[in-house]
Amino acid sequence: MKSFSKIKLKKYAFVWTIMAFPVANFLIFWLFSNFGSLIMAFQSRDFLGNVTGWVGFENFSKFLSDVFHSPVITTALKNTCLMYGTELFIITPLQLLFSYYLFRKIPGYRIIKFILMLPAIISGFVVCLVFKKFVEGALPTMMRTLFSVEGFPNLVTDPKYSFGLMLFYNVWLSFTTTLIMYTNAMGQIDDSVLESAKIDGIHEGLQEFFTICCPLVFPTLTTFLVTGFSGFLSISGPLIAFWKFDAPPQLYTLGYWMYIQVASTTSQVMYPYLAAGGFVMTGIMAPLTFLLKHLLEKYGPSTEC
Amino acid sequence: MKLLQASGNKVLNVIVKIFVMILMISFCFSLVLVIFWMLYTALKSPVEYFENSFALPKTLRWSNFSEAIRLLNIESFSQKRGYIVYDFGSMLVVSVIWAFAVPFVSLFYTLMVSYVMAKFKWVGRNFIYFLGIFVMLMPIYGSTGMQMVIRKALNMYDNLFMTVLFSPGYCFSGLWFMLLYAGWQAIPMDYSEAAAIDGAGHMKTMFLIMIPMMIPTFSAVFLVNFLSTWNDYNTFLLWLPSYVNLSYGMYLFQEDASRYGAAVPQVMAGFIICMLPTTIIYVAFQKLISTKLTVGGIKG
Repeated sequence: MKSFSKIKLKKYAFVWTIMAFPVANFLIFWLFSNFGSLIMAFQSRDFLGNVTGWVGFENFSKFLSDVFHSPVITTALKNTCLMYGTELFIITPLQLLFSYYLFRKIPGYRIIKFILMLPAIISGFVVCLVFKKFVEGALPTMMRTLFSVEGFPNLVTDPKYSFGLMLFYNVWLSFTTTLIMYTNAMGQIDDSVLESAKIDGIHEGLQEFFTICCPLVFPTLTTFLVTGFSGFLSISGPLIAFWKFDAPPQLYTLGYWMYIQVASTTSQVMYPYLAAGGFVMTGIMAPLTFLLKHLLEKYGPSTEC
Repeated sequence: MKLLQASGNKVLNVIVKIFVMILMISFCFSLVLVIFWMLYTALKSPVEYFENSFALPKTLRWSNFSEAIRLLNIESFSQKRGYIVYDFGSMLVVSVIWAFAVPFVSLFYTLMVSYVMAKFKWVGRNFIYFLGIFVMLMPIYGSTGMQMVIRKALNMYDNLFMTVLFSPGYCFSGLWFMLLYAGWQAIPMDYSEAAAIDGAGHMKTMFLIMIPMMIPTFSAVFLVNFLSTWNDYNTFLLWLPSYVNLSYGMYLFQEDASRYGAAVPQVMAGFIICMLPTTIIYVAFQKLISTKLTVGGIKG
C-alpha cells in the first residue's frame, strides 16, 4: 500500500501529465506509422490511396530486383555510398582537426570560427542557392577574367562535373554547428589533464590531438558517427535545394529518389513499393547501426586508466 | 603506434598545422567570396549583371531591394485552401509564426520531458530513456508515405496550427533531448527539495524554480533552432504546400525568377532580406550559442 501513497500518486500524476503527449505522439507517429508502413508493403494501392489488393512479397522482390537491375536505383545507391564516404573519410577528420586547432587558438581563430559558422548564421539554404547561382553565373566569368580560362563549363548542369560539385558542396558547408560541438567538447577537457600530459612529454599538436583530445571527445564523435551511419541511406545532400524534384537521374541518391516519389506527386500508387524498399533498407541498416555502436563503445579509445 | 610516435615529430606538427590553416583559410576565403558576390550583385542593375556577372557594380542600385519586395508575390494552390497569393508581408508573418512557435513549442516540451526523465525516478523511466536512444539510432526508411496518410487522416497535412501543435513529436529522443537532459543532470536538486519543504507542488517547482535555471541552455538551443526553422523550406514543400514562408517563397522565387519579372540582382536582394533576421540574432547571441552547445555520448 506504501507505493500508492499520496506523495507517489502526486509524483506519478505530474510525470504522466508531461509524458502522456510525447508517448501518444510516439505511438501514432512512430509505432503506428511504421506498423502501418509494414502492412502497406504487402498491399497495392490506387492513385487515391485505396487498397486494391494484397500482393504478398511482390513489392519486396520488385525493389530487390530494381536494386540490381534498375539503372536509376543502382546509380542512386552508388551516389549515396559516395556521399556518405565523403562524410566519413573527409568531412569528419577535417571537422576534428579544425576543431582541435580552433580549440588550441591558432592565430585568427575567432574570425575563422565566425566565418566557418556563416552558413548556419545567414541560412544554409541561402548559401546553397547563392552557391548555385555563383557557380552557374559568376564562376565562368571569374575564370575568364582572372585566369583567362575560356569556355569554363557550367559545373551545375554539366553531367561530367555535377555530382562532383554536390560532393564538394557537402564538404564546403560541413563546418558549422558540428564544429562548435566538437570545439566545445574539447573545451571541456580539464586544464590539469593537458598540463600533466605535457609533463609526460606529449607535445601540443598531433600527439595531443591523437592521445588526449580524440579519446576525450570520443563519446561526442560516437554520437555523430552512429546517428550519421543510421541515416546514411536517406542522405540527399543539396539535391532538393539545387533541383527541387527535377534533378537529373545520374545525381539521384536513394534518399532523394524516395523523397520525390512522395513529395512530387499526389498519387499514392508508389507508397507500398516505397514502404517495402524502406523495410529492406531498415533490415540491412538496423543491425549494422547497433553493431557499429557496440564496436565503437567496446574498441574505441578509453579514457580510463 | 607508429602514427603516435610520428605525431610527436615537431616538423610534422608544423607541416600539419600549416596545412590545416591553409585549408581553413581557403574555406573561409571561398565562403566570404560567395557571400561578398551575393552582396554586391544585389546592388547591380540587371544589364550590368548580364554584361559581366563577376564585376563590381558601377553604381549602387539600392532599388533592387524594394523591387524584390514588390515582385515577391508567390501563388499557392491546394485543394483544401484554394488559390492564395502571398505577398512579402504575409510571407513574413508566416515566417515569424513558424520560426517562433515551432522551436518554442517543441523545445519547451522537450525541456519538461527531459526534466521529468532526469530528476524523477518512476517506473518506466529507464524503458523510455532506452526507447528514445533506440528510436534515435533505429534507421527507418520509406515511411514517408504512411506519414502522409496519417497526417491527412488527422487533418495535419497542410494545416499550420496542427503542425506546430504536434511539432514536439516524441521528444524523449534526439540531440536536443540529450543536450537538455545533460543540462538538467548538472543542476543539483537542492533548490527543488527546499521548495518542496516550503510546500510547493511539482508543477510550481518546475516552472518557478527549476526551469529558470535552465534558461541559458534553453535559450542557446532555442536560438539554434530558430535559425534553422527560419530557413526551413523543406517542411513547407512536403507537409504545408499551401503555406509560404519567406524561405519557401524565396526558394520558389529564385527557381523561376523571370516568371516574376525579376533578374539575378533582385533575387540576391531577396536573399539578403531573407537572411537579415537570422544574421542579427546570431551576431547578438554568438557567445551564448557557441558556449552552451555540447553533446556527449549515447550510452545505452
